[in-house]
Order: sequence, then C-alpha cells, then structure tokens
Amino acid sequence: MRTALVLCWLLAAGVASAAPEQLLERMAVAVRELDYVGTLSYSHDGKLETMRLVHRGDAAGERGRLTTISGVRREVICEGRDVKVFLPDQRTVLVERSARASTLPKLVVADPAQLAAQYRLVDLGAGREAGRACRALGIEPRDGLRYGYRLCLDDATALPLRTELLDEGGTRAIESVVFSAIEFPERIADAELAPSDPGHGWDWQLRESQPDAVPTGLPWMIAAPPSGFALTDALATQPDQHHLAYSDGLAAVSVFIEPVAADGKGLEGAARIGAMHLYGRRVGDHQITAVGEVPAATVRAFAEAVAPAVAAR
Amino acid sequence: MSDDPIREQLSALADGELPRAESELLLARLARDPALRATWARYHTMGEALRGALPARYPQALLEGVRAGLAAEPDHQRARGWRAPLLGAAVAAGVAMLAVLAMRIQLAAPPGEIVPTNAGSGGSAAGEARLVDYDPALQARLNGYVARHGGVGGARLPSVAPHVQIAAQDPEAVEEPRPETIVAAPAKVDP
Repeated sequence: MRTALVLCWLLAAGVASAAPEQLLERMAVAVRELDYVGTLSYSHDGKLETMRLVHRGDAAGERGRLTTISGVRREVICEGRDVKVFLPDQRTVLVERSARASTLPKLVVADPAQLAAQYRLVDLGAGREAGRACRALGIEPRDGLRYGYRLCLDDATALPLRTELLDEGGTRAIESVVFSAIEFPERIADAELAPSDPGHGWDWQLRESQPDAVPTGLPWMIAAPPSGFALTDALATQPDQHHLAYSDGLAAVSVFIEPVAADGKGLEGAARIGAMHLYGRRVGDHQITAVGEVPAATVRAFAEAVAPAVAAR
Repeated sequence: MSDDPIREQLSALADGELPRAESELLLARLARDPALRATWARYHTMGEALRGALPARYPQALLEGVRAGLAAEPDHQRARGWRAPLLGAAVAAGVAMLAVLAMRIQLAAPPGEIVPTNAGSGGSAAGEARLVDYDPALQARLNGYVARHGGVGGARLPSVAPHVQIAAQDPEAVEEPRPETIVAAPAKVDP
C-alpha cells in the first residue's frame, strides 16, 4: 500500500522531466519507502562482489536484508535500531545498536540551497540499467573538500540503479553499486527479511552508543569546520570519549576525541581504506582521529581544527 | 585453519579468557605460524571493532613476536578488519551500519604528512598511501573508529545498499599461508 502510494507520487511527478534537485529528494524517499528485491554488484579496489538485497519500507520502520551470493557467506539485517551482521563461518553476529530511535539516516538534501552551495547538480541524460530506463545525474563538488557522484535513477521509481563515487578528477569511479536485476513486489513477507540462519548458539556481540551532551557542555569543539560542513550529531560511548559527526548534506565526517590509549598508540598522520580517509594527531593527552568518505585533505583539516572548548571560547 | 580447538583457543585469547600458560604457548605458536597469525589478527579486529581497544594484557615480548611476523609480511591483505560503509556514493546512507570491509587501513607516513597523489589501481583519489607501519592494536582501534563512523546520523547520500561493504568482506583471504613469512617470526618466543 505504502509502496503503491509512493509509486503513484513518483510517477505523477515524472522522473524523466524533473529537475536534478527534485530527483535527489525523490530518490531519498524511494530508497527508504519502497519495497524492492534485487541483485547488485559492488565494486571497489578492482574487486567485484555480487549480493542480493531485500528491502521493505514499512510504516513501522525500514527493514532490509543484504546477502552475499558469491564468495564468503555473510549477511546484514537491518531492523529498527539494530544492524546485525551475520558471519556464519565465524558463528558470530555483530550488532550495532543506534542511539537513535531509528537507524534511518536523516533525509539527504534537506536544504537544496545548502547542498547547491557545495555541489553542482547536472542532468546527464537518459541511461539504462537492469533492463530499465533511468536518468543519469552528476553531483559535482564545487571544491576539493569532497567527492563527486554519478547516479542513474530509475525512471519509474527514482531508485538509484547505479551509484558511483568519483575520484577528485570526477571521472574515475572509486566505488560503485549497480543493480543487474530489480523487482518491486506487491508484498515482501517477513520470512524474506529474516536471516538465513538465526544464529542460535553463536557469539552475539553488541555495541551501543548514547547521545552526547551536544551542543553545549562538550569539552572539545571545532570552531571552524571545513567549508560547508555542519555538526549533525554527537555521541559518547564513555564519559570522556567523544564522537562528533559532521555533514555537508552528502558527505559525512566523524571526529573522535579520546584520551590517549593506555598503550600510547593512536594514528598520527594520514591513513585510508578505499575512498575513506583518516587523519590523526594528539592534543595534550588526547587522541584526535577524523574519519570520512572525503579527500585526505578534508579529514586532516577536521583533525587540525579540533581545540579544547575553553581555549576556543 | 580448519582446526577448531585452535580456533576456540584463539577466540578465548582474543576475549582474554585463556589461562596464562595456554596464552603464552598459543602466542608462541602464533609467532611462527603465519596462517594462525592471520586468523588471530582477524579475531581481534572483528571483536575490537565493536568493543574498542585491544587490551594489552599479554606479555609484550610475545605480542611483539606476533606483530613482527605480521609486519614482515609483504602482503598486508591478511590484516583485515571491520570498517564502516562509505557513504559516499555507493554506500552511504545510513544507518547504524557498522561496517566491515575486506580492506585494511593503510597508514600513510611519515606522521603528519599527506601522501602525495599518485593515482594507482584501486587507490583513492588522494593517491596510494604508503604503508609504513602495521600494528594490530592500532589497526583494531582505527577499525573501531571506522565502524562507529558508519553508525552516525546526519545527512548522507541515501543508498539502496548501505551495507555492501560489510557483506563484501572476504575473511578467508586472510588465511592464505605465506611460507616466506615463517622465517620472519622470531624464534626466541618459542617455549
């Protein structure tokens, strides 16, 4: 029912004729609220993985199941505040419990004007993926502090059938997710969202975080974050362990501020995994580590901007 | 690594539940067995990503033996851990996704310097990071940060598959033995 309503709205709006800003907003809704089942490939660092995705946009909350269909068995189940990672070969389930009532991200493109200040949206014309017509859209950064994207949004639903994260040159895809097949069933049964193996008797590991005292009362602050980024969240796992989250509307950066570990180890300098960069440094007896899917210079700027709140006031 | 008693021992070691005498024997074996070492590295990066730092409760000399072996391995692919999904394009989105990826964190150095751009295959746009250090405890800590980064709110580009990286992890690849690394393990920690 919900799917049908969303579909009607999307169809009425007309993906093919909509402006890029509207397309992005529709995509954000479609991704969360539609019911869909598909096969996708994820490529990164010269590797290609194939997975099956089941998604249901319940009124009660979004639910999802992502299962590898080649290589190592692995499954991710999303439900309510929990994201569960099933690792059959290790007989382990990792549970990340969000501090928030829902694991849904806040809607992207909340403020098109703000987004437009950081990115240029470009209509790249008609495309085709998974046997369906789609509209190609470029999201080009206006400066070197963030990456660009290239999407192809399904004409009928605005769902992204192809998503690519581009390098600083704006041409080469660092990572991509592409559907090879997708369906929009009338109804998705609970059984289709359940893990392949319930994991009875496995090792279940839970991690839970709590909201931090934001925005006042934090002993650390970033007076001038890199252009276009704003504080969106603050979390704490221990009283003296702070996690500040920033976003520019598309890209997110986390800054962790914790006492230097007992073993004295912490990142000093730059590091990366795929398109994600890290930068660490010490301030007094605290370790600062910035992490984000942004260019190396951006995480470095974040790490260097952290200061004790007292000094910054 | 299909040896279940050993796996259980490793698991107990990672959880700090293995008796000290057994721990030391196992650590000694780790120091000379690269395949076992790879498995061990995976255990604690997995656990630590969720629990936080690697406890330094074992004799440093033994840990150093294991680390020396790991550091000596030219292919650091075996050192895999958890990582958060990139939002970015492909992934983004949201959710309290902890993330886990089949990639190691590459430490670029020297400290304080951004690695010069050098577009290599599979590299990020910032270029290939030069690997100068491999430390399991630090690796585990960074993996934990990356996992927590994946769990934050805030506006992100929505993705139909925010957890692809988690599912893409390929833990078996860490277990390929590399005979040349055996000689790199210090013999002094043998019982």
